[in-house]
Amino acid sequence: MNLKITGLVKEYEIQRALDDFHLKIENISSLVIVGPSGGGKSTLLRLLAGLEVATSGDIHINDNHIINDEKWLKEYRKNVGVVFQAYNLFPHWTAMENITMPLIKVHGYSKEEASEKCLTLLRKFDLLEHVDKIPAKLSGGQQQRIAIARALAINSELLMFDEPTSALDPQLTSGVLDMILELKKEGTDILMVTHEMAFAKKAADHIVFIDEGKALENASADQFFNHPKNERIIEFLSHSNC
Amino acid sequence: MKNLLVIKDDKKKLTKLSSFTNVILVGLFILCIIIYTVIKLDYSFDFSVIAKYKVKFINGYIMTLEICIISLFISLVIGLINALALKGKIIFFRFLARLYVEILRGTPFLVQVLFFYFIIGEAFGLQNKFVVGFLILSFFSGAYVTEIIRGGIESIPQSQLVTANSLGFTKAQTYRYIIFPQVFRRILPSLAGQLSSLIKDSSLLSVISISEFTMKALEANAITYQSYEIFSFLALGYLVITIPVSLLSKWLERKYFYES
Repeated sequence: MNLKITGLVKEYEIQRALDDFHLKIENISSLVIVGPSGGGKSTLLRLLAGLEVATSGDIHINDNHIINDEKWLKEYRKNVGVVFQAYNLFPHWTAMENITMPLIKVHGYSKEEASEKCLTLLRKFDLLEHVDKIPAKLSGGQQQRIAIARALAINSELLMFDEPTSALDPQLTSGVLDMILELKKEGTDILMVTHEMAFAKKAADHIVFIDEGKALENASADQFFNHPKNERIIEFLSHSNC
Repeated sequence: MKNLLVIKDDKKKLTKLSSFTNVILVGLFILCIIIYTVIKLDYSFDFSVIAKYKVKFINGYIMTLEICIISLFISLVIGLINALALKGKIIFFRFLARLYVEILRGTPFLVQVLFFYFIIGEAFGLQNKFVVGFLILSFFSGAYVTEIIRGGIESIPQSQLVTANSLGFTKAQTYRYIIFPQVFRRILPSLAGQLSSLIKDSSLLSVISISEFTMKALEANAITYQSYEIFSFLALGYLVITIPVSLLSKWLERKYFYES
């Protein structure tokens, strides 16, 4: 994954979530964004996913230059898989329908192709027994794993995770994190916002630390965890569990 | 003895004996009122009038059902269009829909019937009373259905819309495949309640002589003056539909409650 962000600003009515944000990263496969709450991590992810538009600045992600044009963004979003904190699945659809409906209605698959693809994925991630269940009958962890399978189903070149385990009980998070690790091993590009520092240490090639709307650190995982330079980061790491 | 008549603990179920006793007591209470009215009015019952005018009653009943079913359907269409107008981007339609809802919900149905019949019906040359009847009822009910549907749409959490957007669903697809199926299930209990209101409100159409159930009862009453039998039967005729509909509504509510 290549990422080049210059002069990015995102303002909301009452605050500036990203403030003249710069970042340049080349050729890495998993990027983890960490930092204190309210620092702008999730905002950055939503801009990268094309779900919101920047107030000003430029984002280049792989071969895409993200532009503020709804039609272009619509096409862009189709090819980016995003998994949110919680409530990813539509409650009136079964696990199967949650995966196949976007394939059929958005990507033009036939019903058979979509089901086949869905079953292959569910089988691979050991979720086959849940195929006909509605989300209310699944645990939060199972829901998240199905949401990840749905994001994978569209063959996205890049998967984005916005704190995918922060709404889960600790004993449910490991299943979700293991699934993400497995994807990384298979070579899927991953961009993730997380509070799970232990996981970040394991899964990240590269870490970006965001605070007060700016990237305070942009380093390899090894350097970030083992040789942090910035004092804010040293303090942040001392509070986290790794 | 006290346990028989007074509930001490709301969490405990009533005993069979207590339920039975109180049902009898309520029955006796009603019976007393009936006996009082009968004595006071010096009334002699003749239930044969019901049988005698049964064709009238049946025709009226069918007319009421027809008007209500057609109205429910049309008011659903009106409600849907209006709810979309309220949520839509065109300000003119938003204002128009809001005005419609406020006026129709803020005025008595009787006033609307008179206004529609004597002014709009006249102006547009609506001769057929059946058509006038279901149109008035549809517009009236449509205002309430609008609010039911709008509430239903707003009850879908924002997070689902963000997810739908991130998956690449268009706005139309989001409404069609994600919002409406859920809204429909959520509002079914309220819609059943609305059907019940519709059936009751339709009796006011008798003021413009639409030959529905109440009108037919008034006619039979004018001939026989057996008001007690006729109006009791009339009330019963409405209850026969509204009670099952109300039970259905409660059942749907529970069903939705458990599934979510």
